[in-house]
Amino acid sequence: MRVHVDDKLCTGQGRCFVEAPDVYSSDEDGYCKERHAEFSVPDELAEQARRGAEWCPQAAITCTDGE
Amino acid sequence: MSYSTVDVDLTRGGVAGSHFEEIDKLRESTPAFWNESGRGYWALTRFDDVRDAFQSPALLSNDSIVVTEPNPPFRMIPSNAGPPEHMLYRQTMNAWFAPAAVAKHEPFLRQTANDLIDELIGEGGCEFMSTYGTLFPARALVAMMGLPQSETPVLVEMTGRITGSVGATDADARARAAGALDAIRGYFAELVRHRRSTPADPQLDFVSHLLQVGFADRHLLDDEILDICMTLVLGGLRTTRSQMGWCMYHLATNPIDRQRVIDDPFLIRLAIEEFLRAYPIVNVARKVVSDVDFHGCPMKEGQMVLMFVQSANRDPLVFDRADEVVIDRRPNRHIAFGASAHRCLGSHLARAELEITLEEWHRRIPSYRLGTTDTLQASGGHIALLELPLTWTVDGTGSAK
Repeated sequence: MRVHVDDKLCTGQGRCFVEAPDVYSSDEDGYCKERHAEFSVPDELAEQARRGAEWCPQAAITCTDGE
Repeated sequence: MSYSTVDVDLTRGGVAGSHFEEIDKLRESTPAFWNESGRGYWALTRFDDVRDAFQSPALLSNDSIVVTEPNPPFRMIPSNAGPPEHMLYRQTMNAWFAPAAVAKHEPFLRQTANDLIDELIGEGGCEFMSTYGTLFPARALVAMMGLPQSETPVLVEMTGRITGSVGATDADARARAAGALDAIRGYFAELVRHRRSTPADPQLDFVSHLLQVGFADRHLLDDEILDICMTLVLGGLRTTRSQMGWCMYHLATNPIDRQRVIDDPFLIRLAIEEFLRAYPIVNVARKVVSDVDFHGCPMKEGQMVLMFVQSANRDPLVFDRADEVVIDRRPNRHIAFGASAHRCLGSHLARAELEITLEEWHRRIPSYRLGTTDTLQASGGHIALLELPLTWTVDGTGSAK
């Protein structure tokens, strides 16, 4: 699964890394550390990746199946 | 999409819970309105539109964020700053309120919760808002700023004089608030003066940090540091208190939910998100930069627009059973802390305060209930319980049953 965290939309709401800690993490300012570049997660983390996306109030996270 | 014209005073006090119901009705009756009340202001009521408004700083500025006050008498930093200065200011502060910073203070916060509970538990009851609800957030903010706890009482006293909103329409309330703000500013001016001549450790003392941190190609001016301190105090005390009140109110009046939280403290994290969503305490506002037709509203330069979080959070187009409090709701993408770059700096701290409070309170006083049969009252605008009497049974050893 490809995950894209839009760094123009991320405002450090902090839901992704709390609810999906194996996929997302906090940088030292409380923003999503993974917002700087698209990345892939293995199948077993797909559910967490999607969970993080669903929790984001800014709709900053997009998950795309299949890669 | 069209808008309605209304004349409602959202700041009127009322029965606890009534404000949320009134807002729900307003939202379901119209997606947007011009409120003629006072000077008048725009509002969008749907989650998607409110979020879009939050994400449109070029159209809607932070020059004022108090809907009844288009020309604020004082500046809040970073709240009234726009791009690019806004993020530069935030960068001087973010790390101090980030999750890792809050986690460092967790042992202190947990001890403070227990200290306050120790003082109350033997009494078999309390008025929560003026005791725990006031003292815990104050002690927490003082700790986060690296100040000694001996400073807490004076901050509590000064902020206690700001009742309701600083945009209150009552002239006496505004005068009282203005006096209290002067006192708070004077307090921090003295603190800044002291730290300039005798700096404390900039890794531990927030004001000392602000005095030496790089800001663009310079350092912060004293006025900027004062504006920042004012914002922290205005943003971090009564808000947390108000939200805490709703959490305790809900669990005091919903014994099934309270028992679920007692049986499974891991539920507390989700429950807090739901309380933030369903009992939204505050809105913010923006000022129209230049004439624009925004979601069907012909907004004119200089007009104020309410960022109607209290409505957006309970929008049934986004949340199933939006008017029900579902304490294990997930996901829960509410916007209680805003939905823009100005997202509440204290959001991680607020959550920690709420979590630790609910954990410790339910561990030590699990069987509390409402301590009155009188109808509880809440303020409007900033929606908060005026009082929350709680009662519980104490056994022979002074512990709660």
